[in-house]
Amino acid sequence: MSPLTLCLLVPALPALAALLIGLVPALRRRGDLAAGVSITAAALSLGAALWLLLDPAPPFQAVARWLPLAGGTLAELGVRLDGTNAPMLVVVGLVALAVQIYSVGYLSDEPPASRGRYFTWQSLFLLAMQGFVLSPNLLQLFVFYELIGLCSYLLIGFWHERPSAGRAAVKAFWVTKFGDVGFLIGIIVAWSWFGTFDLQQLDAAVRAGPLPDLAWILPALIFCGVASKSAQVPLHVWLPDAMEGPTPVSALLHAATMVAAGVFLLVRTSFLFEISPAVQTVVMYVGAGTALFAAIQGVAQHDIKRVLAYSTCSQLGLMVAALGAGAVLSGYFHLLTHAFFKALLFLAAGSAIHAIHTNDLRAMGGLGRTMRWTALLFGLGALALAGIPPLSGFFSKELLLASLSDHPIALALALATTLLTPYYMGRAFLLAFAGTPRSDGARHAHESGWSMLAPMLALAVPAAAAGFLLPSFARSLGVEGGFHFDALGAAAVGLALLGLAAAWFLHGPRRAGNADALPAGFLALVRSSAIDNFYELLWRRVLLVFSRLIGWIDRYVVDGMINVVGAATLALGGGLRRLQTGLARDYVLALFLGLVALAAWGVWGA
Amino acid sequence: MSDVQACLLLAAAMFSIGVYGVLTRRNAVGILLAVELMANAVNINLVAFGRLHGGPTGQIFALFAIALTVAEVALGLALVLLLARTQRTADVDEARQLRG
Amino acid sequence: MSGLEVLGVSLLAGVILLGALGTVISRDLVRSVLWLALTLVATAGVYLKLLAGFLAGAQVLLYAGGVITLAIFAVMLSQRVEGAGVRHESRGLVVGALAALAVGVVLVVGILASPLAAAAAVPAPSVTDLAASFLGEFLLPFEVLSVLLVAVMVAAITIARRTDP
Repeated sequence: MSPLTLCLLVPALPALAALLIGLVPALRRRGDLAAGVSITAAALSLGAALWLLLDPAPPFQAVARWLPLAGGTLAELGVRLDGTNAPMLVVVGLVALAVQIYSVGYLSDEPPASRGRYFTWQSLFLLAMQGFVLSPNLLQLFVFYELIGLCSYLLIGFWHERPSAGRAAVKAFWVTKFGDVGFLIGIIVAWSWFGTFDLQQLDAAVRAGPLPDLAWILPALIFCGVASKSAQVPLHVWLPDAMEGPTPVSALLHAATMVAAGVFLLVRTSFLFEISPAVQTVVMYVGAGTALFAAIQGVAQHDIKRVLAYSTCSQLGLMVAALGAGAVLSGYFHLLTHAFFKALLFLAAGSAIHAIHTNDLRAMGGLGRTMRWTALLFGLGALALAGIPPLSGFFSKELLLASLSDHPIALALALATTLLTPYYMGRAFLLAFAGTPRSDGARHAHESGWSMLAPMLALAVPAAAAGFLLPSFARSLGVEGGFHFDALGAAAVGLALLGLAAAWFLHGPRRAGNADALPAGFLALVRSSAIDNFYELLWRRVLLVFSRLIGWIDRYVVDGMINVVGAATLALGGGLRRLQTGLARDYVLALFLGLVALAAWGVWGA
Repeated sequence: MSDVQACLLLAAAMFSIGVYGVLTRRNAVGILLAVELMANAVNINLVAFGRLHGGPTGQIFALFAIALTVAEVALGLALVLLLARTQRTADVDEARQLRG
Repeated sequence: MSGLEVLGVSLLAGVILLGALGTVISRDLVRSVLWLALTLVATAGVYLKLLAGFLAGAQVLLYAGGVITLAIFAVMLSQRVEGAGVRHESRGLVVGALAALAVGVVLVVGILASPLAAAAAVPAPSVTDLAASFLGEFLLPFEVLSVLLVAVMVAAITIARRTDP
């Protein structure tokens, strides 16, 4: 099977599944059948992606003309496969498949029609994500970016009977859309400067030069899109609320793939960022700042999913920071390892949530005794995230910190994050799985079924071992991929152990599972929602006022112009109407006057 | 001025008076009478021109006109009767149902 | 024209115009009709002056005899005998007068402006000539006229009959 065919199969199979489930109500209402179709498509898609990775062909691009322009082509549609996106296809496919299988067990209580709807969106999302990864030009990237955003909205708001879910979905959509506007403007600017959307052509054009004066605007605008989808401060506010969706959705979209799409975009357009060191510096500091900020937030959360959400935000910040420092390999590698262990963490958390029907850490406790596998896997994920060797997170985090070594301030922020990350993960683990159960639900919990454990195990393997794939990954990217263990690395591991120790000390069994062990003032400060309040102010005072103004203009000025024409016509008609008095005398008068006029014309005129 | 011209001027004056009558009278029969005046003025015209050119054509037309005018008056008076019966008065100003 | 002729013609014209004015101004409808009768008879006189004897006779017969009678009947039957002119609406009077004046002026100007020769030298047509024309050149209109008159009769009866039970 040719590489092109395989490439097309990867998104086409889930697309077919989505269409089938979406358009055939009989199929959709049978939830199990819909799940089967979706999972089969995802598995086959993953197979194709694996084939492409393991039997590599030389990089190629195949496009077809989509939008014609006078004497040429405006936009093309197609696929591109090279060493950069081949690994991503596999990672996305694997996590998606694991999540879909897991969802069968997790959503077993849902009515079949709802499950059908869920798998429609899951297949649609897989199509969108793989299509995104395979895109050869900016316009197609944008189209799939938007489709990803749509699926996020649909899946976050899956339990649409809950008002909070609906609000969270809308909030996610709005905030990511806001950033996407910048992205779109950037795409248009790129076209107006270079006349093409194609990534390879843009790369060549940028290298050839000369560049326009304000060339730095382009990467800045692209970064707008990245910042919103990858939840960088200040556009991160949608991510914690996105936890309203089912946990498998959080695992797939808001840990491994969708939020990673922003980082992947950064990887794909890295040649644009090399235009402007200033923009790169900004990107780096935004990333590092987000990393620390989110880590601090993670420390104060009671909801286990929110801890993981802020953790994701923080890790994304680290990836963005690395890419801002120009180290594509380290940022991208951390993206892939993070996908595995964060998804694993979410699935394990979901297993616990499913067992005791609550997200609140304060109501958990002692689950390690009754849910051994879940506890084990969660612990594995947590250690990977903390960067403990020889798990994958250790390698990627080490690489990350090394790439920031030339920028002391950013490095300091990243190291602080490295301290806090194991602390809040340790806290979460201890509160949930250690100690004694603090509620009835926790007391009566039992381990989840194999449909949920098997995918978790499947993800645990790469979460643990992916670090050893670093050399081949570097080769596939075509860069030097050296891993050295030096003083910085040792410091990182030391900080990780310190964080874990702090967690043990503050939340361990001796403390009887106190969730808020840190000073109350500090926690209160962290929890104050200044950014959200700012956004609400912006929304109410600025946006709504502006939209009311526009509405007024629309009703009274635009409609007014039409209404004036109508009213004038009516008035004219009303005036003319008075000629029709109904009196025969007046009509005869008119007749005679006409006669006089005609006669006068006959006598004098003609 | 010649004979013919005098008659034409007379007819014109009679016609104008008839117009005044049509435009001012409120009673339907009154309007018909004014129309009669106008018709007769036309007749005078016809005969005068016939006298001018010679031949019977002028008078023939005048005879036709008389016959037609008589018929028209008969019909008109029938309508007046109907109008008077329907709206209880022969005042044409009452009949303004076509008012726009 | 001789002096007597001029006098006669002027008298006739005066009567006609007086009668016409009386028709349109009189408030009593019956008097209006009678004024019209006078006008029509005077018109017959004009026809005589124009050497159209048969026409003058027909005029008196049909108009003064038939139409006036008809009008009197109609007036009586319509039950309201005021026949008022436009008493209250001066607007109607002024406008009507102006319009009539306009019509008159146009006609008079037209007449005076055109060159008109005197009467033709040929003798006036006799009744025989008229009859020959009716049954010769104008036969078709003559026959159609009779059909028309029948139709008008039927129509008048249909329109004016009482339909209430």
